[in-house]
Amino acid sequence: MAAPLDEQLATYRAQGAGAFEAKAGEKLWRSSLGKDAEGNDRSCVTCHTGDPKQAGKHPKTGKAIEPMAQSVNVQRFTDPAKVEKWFGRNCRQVLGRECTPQEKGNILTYLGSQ
Amino acid sequence: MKSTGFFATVLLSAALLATSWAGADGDAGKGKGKEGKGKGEQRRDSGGQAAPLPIPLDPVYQKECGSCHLAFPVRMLPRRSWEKMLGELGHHFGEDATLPEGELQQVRTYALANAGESSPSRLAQRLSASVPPEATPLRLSEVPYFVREHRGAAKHVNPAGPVKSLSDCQACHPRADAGSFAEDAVRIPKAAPAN
Repeated sequence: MAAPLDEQLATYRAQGAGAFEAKAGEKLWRSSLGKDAEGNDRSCVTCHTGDPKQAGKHPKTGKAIEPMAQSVNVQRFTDPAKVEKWFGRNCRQVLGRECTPQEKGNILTYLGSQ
Repeated sequence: MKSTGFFATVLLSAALLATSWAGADGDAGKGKGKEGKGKGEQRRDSGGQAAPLPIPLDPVYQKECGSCHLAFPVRMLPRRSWEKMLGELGHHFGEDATLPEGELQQVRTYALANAGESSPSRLAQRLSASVPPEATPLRLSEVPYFVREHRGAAKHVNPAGPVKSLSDCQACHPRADAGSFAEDAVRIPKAAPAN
């Protein structure tokens, strides 16, 4: 896989994560654990769809979101600050807390496998 | 602080005008009397001047505030609205839109320097002037001037239709991303026929 993803994963390992699993990442990706302000379900899939190779859409604004899969969108994961910014916001929104390094690594491993 | 803001605006505007700027505000063609509302590309203010207004852009604002929705022209809200909104990005219309500190400060500087009160745009001034001093609207769609201007358009809004909400500027204002809202360029899309 491309180097930027490996660098991200190395960062998470340094923060204490163990072996990463795409399956665990996918499970988290699809879990509807959060709600938005109107009480609608929120999960990663809500904005990014169930297929990371497809473009997603913001449910309220309709704004298109480029695919998450690096296989179709080579820009993904190349900017660590951007990765952390979005993990921060979206994990807080969906899980009500920050994602752990393990969870982040699992999710990126899943997205990297697509 | 005011002179710092002005100086920052001058520097920022000079730097950005050299690289990118958006064209006419579009308000030059507006007006109840349709005076000067000519055909074609010319837009005129009531003094008869063709007046494209450069809109200072900020790449951080465009990127950070345009990732989920149109990066609304900051001149469309008063300064106090931006202060409030940027102070509570963790609760931004039900979303977490938190910005890292560096980007937040840059966006804040830009927004406050270019907010409604600071803009030479007639549209911006009409919007700002219509907001009662005790109000701090965060939604453009709550600004009285906006409400008046969109009374007719409001009937076209339908969550199922091409115009999902009044915050979807680009549905009817094709050049909203360039900060242009010229009345003569408005195209209201027809809803798909019912099955």
